[in-house]
Amino acid sequence: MKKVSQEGKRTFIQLLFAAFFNGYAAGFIKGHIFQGKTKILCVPVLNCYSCPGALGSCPIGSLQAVISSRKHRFSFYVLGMIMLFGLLLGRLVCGFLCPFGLLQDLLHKIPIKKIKINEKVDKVLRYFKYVVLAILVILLPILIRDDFNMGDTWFCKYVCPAGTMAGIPLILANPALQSVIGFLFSWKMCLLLIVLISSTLIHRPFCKYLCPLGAIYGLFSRFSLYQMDLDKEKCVGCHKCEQVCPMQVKCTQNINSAECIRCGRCKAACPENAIDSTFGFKIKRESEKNHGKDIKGS
Amino acid sequence: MSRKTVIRIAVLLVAVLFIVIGVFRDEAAMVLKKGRDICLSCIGIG
Repeated sequence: MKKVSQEGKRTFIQLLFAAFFNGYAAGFIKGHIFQGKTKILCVPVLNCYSCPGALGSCPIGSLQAVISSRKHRFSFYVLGMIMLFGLLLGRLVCGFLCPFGLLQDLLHKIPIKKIKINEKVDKVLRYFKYVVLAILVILLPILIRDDFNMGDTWFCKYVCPAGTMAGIPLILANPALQSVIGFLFSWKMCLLLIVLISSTLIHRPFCKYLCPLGAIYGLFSRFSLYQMDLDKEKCVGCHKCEQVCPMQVKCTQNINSAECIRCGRCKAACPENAIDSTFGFKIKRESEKNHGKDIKGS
Repeated sequence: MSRKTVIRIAVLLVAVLFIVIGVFRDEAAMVLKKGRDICLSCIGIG
């Protein structure tokens, strides 16, 4: 029997979680959203709660909804949940659970010429997601208020392509919504198209440069319970791990980089089995012991 | 216990504490209410 590749297994898991987070099939047919009690919980991924199938709430949408309300300027509840997801899984969420990440992965498989972004430009652009997080997700919803002391969900309203994507089946199945679409919808559709088209040329452009949730999880990369581990004694410095990394992480220098989405391609590519992944509170002795040692050939 | 383990335990405790505080501040109910209504701004309508 043909052995399923590591990437094949990952795609299967991604599909499984996309279906799990959007399991309310009736919503897609009837053109309404799920209204059950599970929406009290945030899902760990950027999955709009206005997607007809969504069973849980989007953490970024919920965060903005609470901090832009009349009552609160800070959300302990949503932040607590994001911290929990970040601590347990970190950016493994991006690599294995996120439906919008899956969509970008699939689009990148389209066999057309890919674009390689200049390393320096790429490095600067990566910080943009932190700007999006600070300004659109946190500051503007808190600071800009209307006459009723209500803020706006700036990221959801003006940027989030996952929300626009979620809205498409809803609008298609709901004539009342079709009658009120206007400029904002056109703007968001343009942004969505830009993200989708660029995903065919660049690997995961939204995750690399725009996603505020990925930015938060990136902050947990160094101490999340799921860690990548490079045995520097085994590493021969062939840099095959870095050549296959879709996020252009310098695996031999910083295997637990904030940019690593834990896809495991480096682990599969390593000819010496020097890369492993661990889960738990206990720190793997080898990686601590080897800390600071130079890689052969680098 | 290593520094990393201490950070992990601290983050876990703070996260749980934040969730509990949030529930008592009615934030969970707010999240549920928001999730049950179609978010027009999210889909690009309002």
